[in-house]
Amino acid sequence: MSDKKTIGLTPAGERAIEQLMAQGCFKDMIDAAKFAMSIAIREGDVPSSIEGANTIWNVGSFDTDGQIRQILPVLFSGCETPYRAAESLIDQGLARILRAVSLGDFAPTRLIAPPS
Amino acid sequence: MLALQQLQLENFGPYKGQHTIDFPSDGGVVIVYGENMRGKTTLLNAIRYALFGTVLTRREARLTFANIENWENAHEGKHGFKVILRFSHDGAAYELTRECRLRRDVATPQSDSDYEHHCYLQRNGEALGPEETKDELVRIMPESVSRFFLFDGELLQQYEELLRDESEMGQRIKESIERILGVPILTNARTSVKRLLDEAQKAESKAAQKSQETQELGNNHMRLLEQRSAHESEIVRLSRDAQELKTKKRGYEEEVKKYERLLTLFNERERLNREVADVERRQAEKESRLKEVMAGAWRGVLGPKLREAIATLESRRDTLQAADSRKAAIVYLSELIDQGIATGNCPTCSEGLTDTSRSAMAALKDRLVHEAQQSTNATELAEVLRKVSILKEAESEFSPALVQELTDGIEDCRVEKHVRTHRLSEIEEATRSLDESEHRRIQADYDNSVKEITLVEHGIQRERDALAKVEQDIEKVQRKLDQLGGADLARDRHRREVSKRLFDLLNEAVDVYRNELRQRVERDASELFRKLTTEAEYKGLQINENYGLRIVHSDGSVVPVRSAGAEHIVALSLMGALQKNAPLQGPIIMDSPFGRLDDQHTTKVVDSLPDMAAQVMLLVYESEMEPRLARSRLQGHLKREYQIGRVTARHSTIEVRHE
Repeated sequence: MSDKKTIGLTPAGERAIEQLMAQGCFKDMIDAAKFAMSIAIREGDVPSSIEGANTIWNVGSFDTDGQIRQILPVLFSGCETPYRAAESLIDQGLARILRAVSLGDFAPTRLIAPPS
Repeated sequence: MLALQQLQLENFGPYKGQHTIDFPSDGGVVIVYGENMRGKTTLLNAIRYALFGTVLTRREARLTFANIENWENAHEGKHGFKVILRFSHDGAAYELTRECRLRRDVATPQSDSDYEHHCYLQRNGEALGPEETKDELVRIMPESVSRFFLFDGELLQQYEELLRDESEMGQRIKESIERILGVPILTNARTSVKRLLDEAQKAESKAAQKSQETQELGNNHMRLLEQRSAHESEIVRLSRDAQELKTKKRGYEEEVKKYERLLTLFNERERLNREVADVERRQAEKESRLKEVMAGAWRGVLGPKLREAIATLESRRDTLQAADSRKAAIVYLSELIDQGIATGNCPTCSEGLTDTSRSAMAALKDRLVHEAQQSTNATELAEVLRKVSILKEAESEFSPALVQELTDGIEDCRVEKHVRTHRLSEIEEATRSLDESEHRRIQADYDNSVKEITLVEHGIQRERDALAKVEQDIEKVQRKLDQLGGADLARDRHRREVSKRLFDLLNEAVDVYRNELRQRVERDASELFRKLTTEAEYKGLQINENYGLRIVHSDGSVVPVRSAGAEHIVALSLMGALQKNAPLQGPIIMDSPFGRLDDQHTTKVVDSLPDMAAQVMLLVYESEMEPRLARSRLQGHLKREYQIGRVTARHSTIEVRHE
């Protein structure tokens, strides 16, 4: 399977990222999406395939230094399509953040800190 | 001497219905007790209203009739009020009635013009006409000296203004002091003689103009006299303007003070707006910094995961690198074995090899070669090293503590902003119905009046300088005229010289009288002060040109700063001294005079009351002066006690107190 040239969000992911952006912690949605991806990875989520993601970013603008393309295959053995993996992890991470936001206790530092 | 006999109030202030205070005919002290907001000051105001027809606030603003009448009555649609003051003066009995009634065609008063105001004065049972009433009241108690009879303890600190030469209030008090002490009798006489002198000088000029010999000098003299007259008129006009401007300024001051709270609110609003802008700026800076930091947050979150993966990979790298080293050793060993088998000698000790040893070495080599082949892993090691490099590159410095600090800072900014915007909305609510432009206008009017007063006063000074110059010129011409002239001139000159000597005499008399008065006031005030003060090291008071009094220590030095309590004691000493030296005498009515005094001073003032005036009325609250203390200290001098009772917040009563 070839990797994706663009990265998108599911409708649920779009709603979640809007709420995350409303917290005023991120300069743009790319930073928020990468943050969501990192949360999913930290929490042990694994890449899967997602359906219905709308195109949001070109991979070149999403991963300007190519680090995500390089890291994901290292972290997930057998991952050959890092951007597809990233898209799936962003969606999972956003779902986790949305839960935290809906509980009313969203604080960037709380999410940044590793789970105790 | 004025002596009060009875005060009768009807629907005046909180006194709904009719209420009476009787003053014993033999003088002494009457005390009216009342807690705050019950109507003590109203009693002082009622006497002021009866005598002068007006009621002033502590800031000297005139109270409207609607603010004087009983508020509960007014609420029920009944308007108007009345005060009757019965008193004796120089052996005659007077009944003074002032009444305010709502005009027949008015249902709800909007201003003072909706009321009819009446004043009646009876002397020994006979009604006086309006003009006679006015003249009689001015004779009995001029309003300009009323501050020494009807005084408010809260305003005693005004007397400190007498120590400041430039103080307008001090100047007004000084004028009142001189008035009560009778200085105007001499100053008015001096003014009249000055008029005579002017006329004599003009007559002399005219006489000089008639003779050919002195005509030129006479013309010159007349011209200078006209110039002098013009300057004097200008000084009078400018002084009147200055007085009017000062009155206006006081009015503006009152308005400005009324708007003081509003001004405070406007200033607070301006300050809060500045602070909100500052908080918003700080918040924006922190948010911008947070966004910068959060751009790398994903690496921060992945940090532990990356480090864990790096550790695993590095462990694998170490294993692979160890295997690599072993492989190199095997290659070296294999070469040695090959060399031994080929030479038949041991490569280590060079001894000859047996067949058995050779076979064993060959078997060892096979095993090592096999092992080396098994551990061939150069590709994997390279892959592991690549991965470690990728992960290490992804690792970056990220500080959750900095994120925490920034988010805390942003939250603090939000709270700060909320507190300020909440206060701003309260101010907005409080000032919604107020006209800020009106306040700005009043403030501008006040500032303009201050500027105008300064200009007019400069004008007065210029005129005075010019007048002094003209006076010198008149003097010169006068000297020349003195050397010339005929019989007519001699007669007018004689008239002028007599007038001048009389004028100089009165001029000197004013100074002498003033000095004597000051000495007497200083002496009597010092004597009273020593009785009132609890500080034994204070030996008396020292008076200045304006009748301001300073406390003198027993070592002769002047006490530079004094407390509010000391200020009251000094002011009371001045009051007592003025009463003693004034040709005009009357009752003293004191409103809350002990509020700033400690128990010892209060006791001493109470002890001195009978000496201060023949008739004294005290308006006090009980904790200011305990009834038991008053009775024990005043004994026979205490003639009657009244108590102001409360029916509602807008309805008070006056009852005789029996205990």
